[in-house]
Amino acid sequence: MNKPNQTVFPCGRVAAPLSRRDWLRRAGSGAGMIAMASLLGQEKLLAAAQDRTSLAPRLPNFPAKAKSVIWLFMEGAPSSVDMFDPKPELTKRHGQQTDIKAFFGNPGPLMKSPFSFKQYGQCGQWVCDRYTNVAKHVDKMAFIKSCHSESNDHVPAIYQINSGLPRPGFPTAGAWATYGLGSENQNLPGYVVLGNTKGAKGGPHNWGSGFLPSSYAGTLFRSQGAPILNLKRQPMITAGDQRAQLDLMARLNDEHMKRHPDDVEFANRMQSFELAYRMQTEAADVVDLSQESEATHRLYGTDNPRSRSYGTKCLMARRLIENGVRFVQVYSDGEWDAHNDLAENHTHHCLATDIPVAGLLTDLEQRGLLDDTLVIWGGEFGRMPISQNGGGRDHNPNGFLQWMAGAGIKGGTSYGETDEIGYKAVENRVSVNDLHATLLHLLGLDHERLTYYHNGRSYRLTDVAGEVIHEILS
Amino acid sequence: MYSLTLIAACNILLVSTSLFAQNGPTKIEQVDFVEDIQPVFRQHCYECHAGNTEKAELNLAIRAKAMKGGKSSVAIVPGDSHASLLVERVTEVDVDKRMPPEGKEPLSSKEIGLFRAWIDQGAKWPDGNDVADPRLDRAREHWSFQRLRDVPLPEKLATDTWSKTAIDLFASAQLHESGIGPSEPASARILVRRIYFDLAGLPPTPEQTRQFVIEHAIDPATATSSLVANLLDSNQYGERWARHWLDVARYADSAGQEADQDRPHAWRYRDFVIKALNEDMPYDEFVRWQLAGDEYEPENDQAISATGFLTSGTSFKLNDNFIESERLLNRYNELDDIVSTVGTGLLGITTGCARCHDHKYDAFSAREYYQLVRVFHSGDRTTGKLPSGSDGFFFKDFDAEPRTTWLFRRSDFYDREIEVELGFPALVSFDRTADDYWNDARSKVEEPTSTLQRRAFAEWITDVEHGAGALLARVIVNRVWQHHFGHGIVRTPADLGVRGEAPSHPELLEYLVGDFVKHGWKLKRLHRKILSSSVWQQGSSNPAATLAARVDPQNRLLWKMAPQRLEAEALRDAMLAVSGTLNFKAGGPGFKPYIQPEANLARNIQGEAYPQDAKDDASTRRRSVYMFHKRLIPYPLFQAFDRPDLMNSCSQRQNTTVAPQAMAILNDTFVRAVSRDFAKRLTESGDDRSAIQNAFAAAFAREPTETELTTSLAFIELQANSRTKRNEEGARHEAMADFCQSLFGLNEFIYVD
Repeated sequence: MNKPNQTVFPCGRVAAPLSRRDWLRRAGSGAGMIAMASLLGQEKLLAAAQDRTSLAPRLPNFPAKAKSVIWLFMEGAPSSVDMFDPKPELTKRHGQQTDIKAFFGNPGPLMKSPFSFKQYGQCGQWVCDRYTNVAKHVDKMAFIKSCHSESNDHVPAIYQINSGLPRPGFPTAGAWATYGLGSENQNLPGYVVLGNTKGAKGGPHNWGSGFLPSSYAGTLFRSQGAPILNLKRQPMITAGDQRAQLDLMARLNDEHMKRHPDDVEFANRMQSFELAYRMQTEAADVVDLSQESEATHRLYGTDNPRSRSYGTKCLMARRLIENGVRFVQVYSDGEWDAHNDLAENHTHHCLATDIPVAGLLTDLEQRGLLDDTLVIWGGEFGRMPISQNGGGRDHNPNGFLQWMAGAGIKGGTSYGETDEIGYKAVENRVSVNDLHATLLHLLGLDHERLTYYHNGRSYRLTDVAGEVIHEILS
Repeated sequence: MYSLTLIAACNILLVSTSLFAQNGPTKIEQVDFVEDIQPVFRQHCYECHAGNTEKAELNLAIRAKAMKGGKSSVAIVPGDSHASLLVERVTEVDVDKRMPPEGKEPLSSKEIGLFRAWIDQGAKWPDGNDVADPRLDRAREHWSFQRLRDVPLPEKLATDTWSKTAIDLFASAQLHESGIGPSEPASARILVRRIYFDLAGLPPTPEQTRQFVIEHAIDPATATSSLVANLLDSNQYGERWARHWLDVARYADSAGQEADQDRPHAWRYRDFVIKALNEDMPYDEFVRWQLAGDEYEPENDQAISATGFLTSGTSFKLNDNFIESERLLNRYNELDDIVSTVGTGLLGITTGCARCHDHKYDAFSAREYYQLVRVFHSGDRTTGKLPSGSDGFFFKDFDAEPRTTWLFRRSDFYDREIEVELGFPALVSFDRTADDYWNDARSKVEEPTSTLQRRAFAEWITDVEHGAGALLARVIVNRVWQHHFGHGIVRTPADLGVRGEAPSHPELLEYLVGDFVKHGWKLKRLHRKILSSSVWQQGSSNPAATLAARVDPQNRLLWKMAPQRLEAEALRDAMLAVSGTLNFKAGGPGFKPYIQPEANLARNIQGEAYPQDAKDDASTRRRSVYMFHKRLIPYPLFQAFDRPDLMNSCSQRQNTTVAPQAMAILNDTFVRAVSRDFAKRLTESGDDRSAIQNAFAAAFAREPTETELTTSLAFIELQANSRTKRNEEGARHEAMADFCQSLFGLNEFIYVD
């Protein structure tokens, strides 16, 4: 494995990373900065923006708790009241009609959870009987039970949980994080997405860089075959052929370089070819799971057909962050979108993810990686306390749960509450902006200072809101 | 350095005079409120003490309120500065009490002296100088919101043998001031490649290069102007420049969002843009049609298709049984997309904050934002028949009845207390109201089938005298400049507002805008003016210019031409062109190229799925502007090379240099296939030596040097041998393909000098 190498940049015009002070001076935000920008013109801000396409590692705003992030994204939206937040009142009022409006219309009466619950760990956190392996780790987790977001519909909601806005085309959290911090390993992308094997609902905008330079967009890794697009050579082209091509290019670029001795972009582009050449080896290496022991495979459940897919992705996620990737998002397969038969749907998804998620936490802990890796688990919204089509539940953005574990997280805590039936967040409400502010904070980034000037205004991941949830931090 | 010293000296002078001032007002002549006092208020106080923001209940923008004072006490006691709290607070030693508050620049001694003198002289505040709205007041002063003004040409210096055109005179004047000289003119071979890519988005063929080089040797000016004229007349011009505009218009061929349904007729808008540019449609008319073509010429396919500008944003039709709040959110997001595209795309104004509230730095208030929403609120995108009977995709009002539009405070679309009338942003309105425009529009159309609000808006936005026309012209002239030079005269092309960057050449911009408007808003005239200038024809490398590189590393003064990276589309088109396989078929439905399964994986797409097995043949080797852009399945080669995602208006593409670009050149199936075709074409023409010469002529518009030739020959030989050793069929041809593919990765191929 190549070590992170600060002298080899894949891209960008900056020959050396900006110092933290430079960066703050040039791209800080806040009223003072805006006033200054309007006094000085936008040139400084813009210059900084244009310089910053590089993935070279950069210092955070303040000492970071987390170096990297693994976001276990439960696409389709698991139900909080059926997983981690049982509501006795809901059981009591099972069958009662309400005036709750549902996304797809056709609201049924209140429905108790089909699952049974037990308390786990020192903290006594409730977990359903389908997630007993994950349950063993509750003392590492902080449960945020009072999340809310804006859209009732999957795709805008997925956009929002990723980018802060329920609309496509805005930079996602992983893009902001790599924009702010760069990445530790220049031979791999800084932001990797292990996608839903069934395809991407909402497309690549879920991990897009929006108006940020495309160097910060997530790179989709496949868990089988060549992990990245264009990573594999064409048939009939050997590594030797390609090496010869690169050498030829270096020589033929000479004439042009002589005319432009000072233009760093041309040298960078030549470097980018060398990097691409190295990436072919390194990326293939990082996804080569045959290097892992049988015990490790068992730990992640890759030996079990039900959990193989998600286990493989979780194992790959660990290998990626171990190799210096900044931000990894791991999509569940299919959808937790239980409109008809929640028990059946959630049982299926619990079986697919319970062992892998638990295995990942165990493995990260054993390897000492959990100390500087933040793990997030959750969907794009939650589900209704009322039933739909008999045994299902409709979408619910009014109150749902996420948990975080690892770097900087106070284990065994719980923050916020929904109402007694789990319909709406009522106590210590947490917006998506708040989640993002907390995520960036753990990475050592101040969400109000991480800005990018675009179409006439400075944008942030948290728009104009967001508060760090200090109560869950260690 | 000199200027810095000068400024320092001036500061000392200022300080010393203000010391006198503090000794007593007698040293200062009669103070004038408008000249001396209000500018200080405006700069230091209005952010908190004016308009809706009256911190400590103090308003210093309206005489009656200012004289009344704030929460603490009377701020201004006419005739007695010692008793005036205003003076006390600005001179306060305790930073916690001093105004302006900590973090802001304190008033200078001179300003304080002026305050004192003004109050002691009776605090005279002449009538008609109240500022009700500081945001508007500030914007009113801003350069881009002013009416057009005549700009005299700078005088040509006796020593100036370089300037050929008016543009050069302006540039030269600023260069001269900084003591920097321009660069040598680009050579004929550099120039011909630059002109072709700039205007046609394609490289010149070896024959075209040869011809230009001959003509250039005889008379460079004529050779250049006739080539420019030819290219402006060619269909390739519209195909090239339409792409720039389609970025602004966030044009794509599918709806985006979850379902990402194809829009099989959206291409009619794309073709309208190409045609309009090729016909040199006046830009003001181009804009009017895009906003309200149907309200001007309801029987004209082109005019109606032009409204594709309004329909190109993303959309998703939610079923009627879906929850109402979601449908409203959706609808108002779609209207926001239109308003913000009109704002940044046409006017260079951000509407970002106004959707939720009045923002002190925004040009538009929240009310004005919702007034813009109102313009488009009575219609929606429609798939239907064009007048000719063809299928179209355009914007259409529901009927002639304007729909009620509310000012949603904090964008709460259940807040329906405040209805808004038709109205246009005040700061670019001069002595004519929205109703004037609207009445005018209504007087011209008998039995309208639409509300004609868009037509009224279109008239206002192109009205140089009374509306936003001057701003509209400044924005487009700056965009055109940007595409010729890589950067605009204003480097924030989507923001010419108070937070945007100041122009590097304000007089030049104003001159060009004036000329543009005076001569009928013709883009081709503007292109000709720019391309015939010495500034544009400079060489792109000037290693000797060490002073320039130090004083102006960003080349803002235009002392050389900056090399530009080809956009994704131009890169693909150039590969196809040199390989001789570019299909010039123009117009009509977009083609769908092959996309690898790894990248063709959006789920839940409704309607027609993107083909899994698209062929790489002539039908998919058309120019990139005709490629079908499926929003959720972007073409990987384009994505790698910074093509915008077309979800929002894009005024300036990113320019990254990243490994995935290199991986695409090295490993992409399409790139390899085109390399083979290029190789085939070359080997048909003769031996390896002439093949290499032809390759350089096609790709770089020049001959290889002797070293390059030997290096290339050796490479091909080596590759042929190693492939032969591997018992490969067609080893020589593959070796030549290896060579061609390498050329595609060279800086000289990817950049235009």
